[in-house]
Amino acid sequence: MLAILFVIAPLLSVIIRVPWSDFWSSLNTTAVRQSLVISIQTSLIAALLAAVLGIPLSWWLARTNSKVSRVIRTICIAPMVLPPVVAGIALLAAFGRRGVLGEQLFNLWGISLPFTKTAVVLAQVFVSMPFLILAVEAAFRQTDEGLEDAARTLGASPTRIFFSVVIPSVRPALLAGVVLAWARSFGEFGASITFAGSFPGRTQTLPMSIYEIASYDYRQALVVSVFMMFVSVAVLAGMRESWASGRTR
Amino acid sequence: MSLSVVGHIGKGTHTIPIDVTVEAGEVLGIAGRNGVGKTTLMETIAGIVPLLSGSLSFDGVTWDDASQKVWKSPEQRRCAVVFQDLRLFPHMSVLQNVMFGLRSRGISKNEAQSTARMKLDLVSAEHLVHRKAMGLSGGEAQRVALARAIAAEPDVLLLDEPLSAIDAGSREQLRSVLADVLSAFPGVALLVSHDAKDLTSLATRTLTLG
Repeated sequence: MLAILFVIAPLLSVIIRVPWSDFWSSLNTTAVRQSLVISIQTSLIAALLAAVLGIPLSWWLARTNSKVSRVIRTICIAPMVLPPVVAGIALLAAFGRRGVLGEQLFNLWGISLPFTKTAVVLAQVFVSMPFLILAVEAAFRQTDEGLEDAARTLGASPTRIFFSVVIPSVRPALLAGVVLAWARSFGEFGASITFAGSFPGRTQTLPMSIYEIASYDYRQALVVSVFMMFVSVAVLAGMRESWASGRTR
Repeated sequence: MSLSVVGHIGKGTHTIPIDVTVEAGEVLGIAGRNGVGKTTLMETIAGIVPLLSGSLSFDGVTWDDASQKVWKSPEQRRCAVVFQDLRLFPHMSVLQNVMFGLRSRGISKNEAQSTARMKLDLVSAEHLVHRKAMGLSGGEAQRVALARAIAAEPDVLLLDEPLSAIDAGSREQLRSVLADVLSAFPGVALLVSHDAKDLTSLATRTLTLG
């Protein structure tokens, strides 16, 4: 009971305090519109990248059980428990202009990642991929290897087996993993503001925009917050819906 | 064309000696009590489980021989299996299941589709084409698994208890379907069954394991 109250109270309070009369005008400002577009762009690309990179890795983690794979799993999951600001500092240390890899990137190709939209995406992938890996690896572990054997006797190549037998059998978990990674990316703040900065129209995402607005207009910050809350909860509800129907199918 | 297995098969600590040669056109029945290794023999021939020692060859080509370090993977062997637990792909339609082996070997979609329909017709399951594999009854699924195996046009057909999951009524029916399929099958066939009646009516000779 207390737990429910504890979760609901802040969420409800935002809704109560929101100045509904100027809801639309608060949302419809250049800064909010710009950062919403950036948030949508970067979080979708990040979720896609997390899937493209995370799915093969999850597959490998599910199918190997060596000391090496256990260590790698722990490392890959770590960003989930890392304070986001620390993740941002780590990304700067790696890809910053004088970073371990960033210096090479700049010297060889003149590429500088920090404080660009690419940096926003990288930060989001870094912190959100663990969510995808956790969901998808667990599903890969539960797939029926008998079906893969059957497919092999029917002459299917490993790639064909992966895409036409394995992937369809983990589809609900895959979808959940991608949605979780997207939600985490959409709400990302600490790692991206550290690594990419908060430049309106360039790297400022919606959470960064809220943070900035809150410093001078608390009421408008409430409106944008409640908007983000609705989007996130709607996506979560939609996911649960499709998950439930996927299970009964 | 003949299939020959000489050596030891098994999983873990349980091993059994084996020495058998099956000619094309023959249907070798495999009998033996539960757990003796009938299914392991099938899996060894298909390439799911390696031979513990000895040699497995088909038509003069070695498929599995540890001492010579020869190993042909299942997809190189052209063995089709009707597994005891069927293993139909649950998310695919019946037609897609039957087409799977043909499509895996690079046959065009149209050709695979018409072959698959033909094979489904052969096992009296053409009315199931658009059903999902997941919702089929035991007898229906059994027919589809048989159609999927023969559609792949294998050299070796392995049938592991192909009549066990069915009630008595449709069992007679499916047995005659199976008899027709086997008599038309040009390659080597092996049939595992615990039912003496299946073996006498379908196999040309029987090997008892254990």
